Amino acid sequence: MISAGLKTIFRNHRVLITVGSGGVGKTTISAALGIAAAQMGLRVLVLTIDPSKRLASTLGIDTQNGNDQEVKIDLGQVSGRLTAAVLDSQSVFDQFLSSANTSGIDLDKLKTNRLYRELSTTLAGSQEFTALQRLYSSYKSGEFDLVILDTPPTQHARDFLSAPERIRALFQESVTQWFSEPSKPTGLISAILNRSTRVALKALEILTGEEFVESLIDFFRGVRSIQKALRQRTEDVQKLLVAKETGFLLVTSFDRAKIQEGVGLVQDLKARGSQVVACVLNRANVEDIDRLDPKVSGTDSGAIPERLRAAQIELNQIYDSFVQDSLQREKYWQETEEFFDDQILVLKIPEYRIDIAGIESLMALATTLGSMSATKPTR
Amino acid sequence: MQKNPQNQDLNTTRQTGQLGQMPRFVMVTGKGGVGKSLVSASLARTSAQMGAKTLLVEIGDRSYFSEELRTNTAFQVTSVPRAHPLGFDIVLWNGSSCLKEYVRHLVKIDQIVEMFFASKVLRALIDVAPGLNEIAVLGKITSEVRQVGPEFHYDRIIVDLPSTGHALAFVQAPTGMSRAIRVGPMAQHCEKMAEILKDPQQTLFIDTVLLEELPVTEAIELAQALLQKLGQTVRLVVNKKLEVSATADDIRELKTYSRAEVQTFLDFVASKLDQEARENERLVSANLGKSIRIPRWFNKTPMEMIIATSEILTAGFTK
Repeated sequence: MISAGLKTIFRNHRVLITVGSGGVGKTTISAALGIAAAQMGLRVLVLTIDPSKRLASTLGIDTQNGNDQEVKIDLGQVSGRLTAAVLDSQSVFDQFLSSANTSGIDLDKLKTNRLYRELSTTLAGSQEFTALQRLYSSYKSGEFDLVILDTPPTQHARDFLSAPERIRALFQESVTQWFSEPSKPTGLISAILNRSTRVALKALEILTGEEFVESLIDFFRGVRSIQKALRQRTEDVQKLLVAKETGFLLVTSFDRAKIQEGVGLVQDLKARGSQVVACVLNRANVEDIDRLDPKVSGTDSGAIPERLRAAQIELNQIYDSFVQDSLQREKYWQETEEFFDDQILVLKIPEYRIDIAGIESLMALATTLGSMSATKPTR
Repeated sequence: MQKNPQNQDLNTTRQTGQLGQMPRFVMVTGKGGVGKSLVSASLARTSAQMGAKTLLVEIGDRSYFSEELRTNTAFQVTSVPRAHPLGFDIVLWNGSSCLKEYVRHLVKIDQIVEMFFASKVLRALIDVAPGLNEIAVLGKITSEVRQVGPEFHYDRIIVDLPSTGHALAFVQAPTGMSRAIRVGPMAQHCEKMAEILKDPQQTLFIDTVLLEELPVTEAIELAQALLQKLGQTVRLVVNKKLEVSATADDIRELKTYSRAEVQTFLDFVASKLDQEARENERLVSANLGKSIRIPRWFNKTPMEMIIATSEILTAGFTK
């Protein structure tokens, strides 16, 4: 049974993007959200960057295959459907090139360009660009009611969100113009270019050699044809990121540093005009620990056999440590929670005993997420 | 804080010298969330305690340590090294400031440097050039050894690298760049940087890991990648290990004598021990060599954790 909170979020959005720093469980949470939404009857796509092999095998998907794959789990008798895809930078970039190649430039030649090869796989932001590119095309396809994007881990939302801009900047008219002179490399230093550009380029040549600058020329000549399409796509993606139907979900763990990073991410996102709709606090605590009374000893001393007494003492101490630790973190969390306004649904997930990747645990997590109501007390 | 005397004899003690010597450069990485930054700071403290003039390098635009290393107020980490009460200096470097300094060093004329960076084209290129920022930072870190750049002296530099995936890109950047750019001063500098990174006498790689599935998988992959690409053998720091001398079976048996609410907790601890044993076995099978184990600390401030962790690390290195 899905709480009003999450149900509303699923229904009101076409795109959900999970953000958060590394190691907080984003990918697993994204998968669980996908399951919960599909159980509601929606056609859902989960786009993931780098699922663990176990998660991938639980979902029945092949990590080497970049296409949409049907997730093989039993959702029960619902009309919903869950599809997953593992993002693969190289093929998405190549696909984009092909689809945008309006002037029939020889792409095969471009693909042998050393710079292109280096750039298209390692281009700063290429993972992000790929993710957003895929997100956009899946959203546009009409095949899905909801697309959930699991982003690369980042401390700064702007690293992710600004990726399209940064790549686009490289393909601006003024840039490609530089390199489209048909003459030799030295011909670039022509009277047409202004002095500071010439000087800068000469400096580049000194630093990197003529050969590199030659590669650059080839590269830019080759991509000139896709410039317009790239610009258009970037604008479309940018609009989607701030649209009302796109919601951002912060995933963070119950740890001061991660919470702080999370707060920074939310601030970044809001500053950019994006909607932050929920915060999932993962590994919040040992299950039920917040119900335990720190003043009462963990186990009843009474009937314990002799050989277990040492273990009992030890476990009591560990128990005390966990409880104290948990109270500290709870205190810090409460101070931070003020920051999340009423528009943000806050969900706390306890620390599970084993890695969540086995099918029962994943389904249980999906059910937990679905049935939770917000943890913020009403004021 | 755990006070159980029985814990004294657990496997985190009697770990001596298995990490070998600390060379001039220590690169610390690990999957996001495993505690590598605190391990870096602990290593910096260990180094300082050994008498070495030590610099802890943070990479990026925003400082994590500014908050974590606070004493009474947040400690301001800047792009100029500052001394911290724990005994080491700390600095925050990012690609663009390091690159500017580097270009200024190579292209002596200020005016040209300004034009270089004012150029929209070059700025756009710099922004997306794979590895350029990383090379700029690595260049700064290794500048004393390579005798390039403004003067700067430390006996030892501990680098808090980005997490695993990015760390690998980071340390391979000089090699990658030399593939794209073959001549000129940049190429030569990259070659020298790569040489330093590949030399175990000069650089040690530390991988921080938790005894959980994903961190262990990444640690194994990273170890293999570093061996293959740089010929380097990583040393593992196993972090947040649960220190319990009771066995999982005993703990489960205790459940029968415990209140309902406590049973969940006992189950949790027993499962955690099983998980740790399982993951430890995976690490052992992967033959990753020597490691050192740091316990999961409770109710310690970051500074207290650094000091406690540093004590264990100190025993792990040979002088």
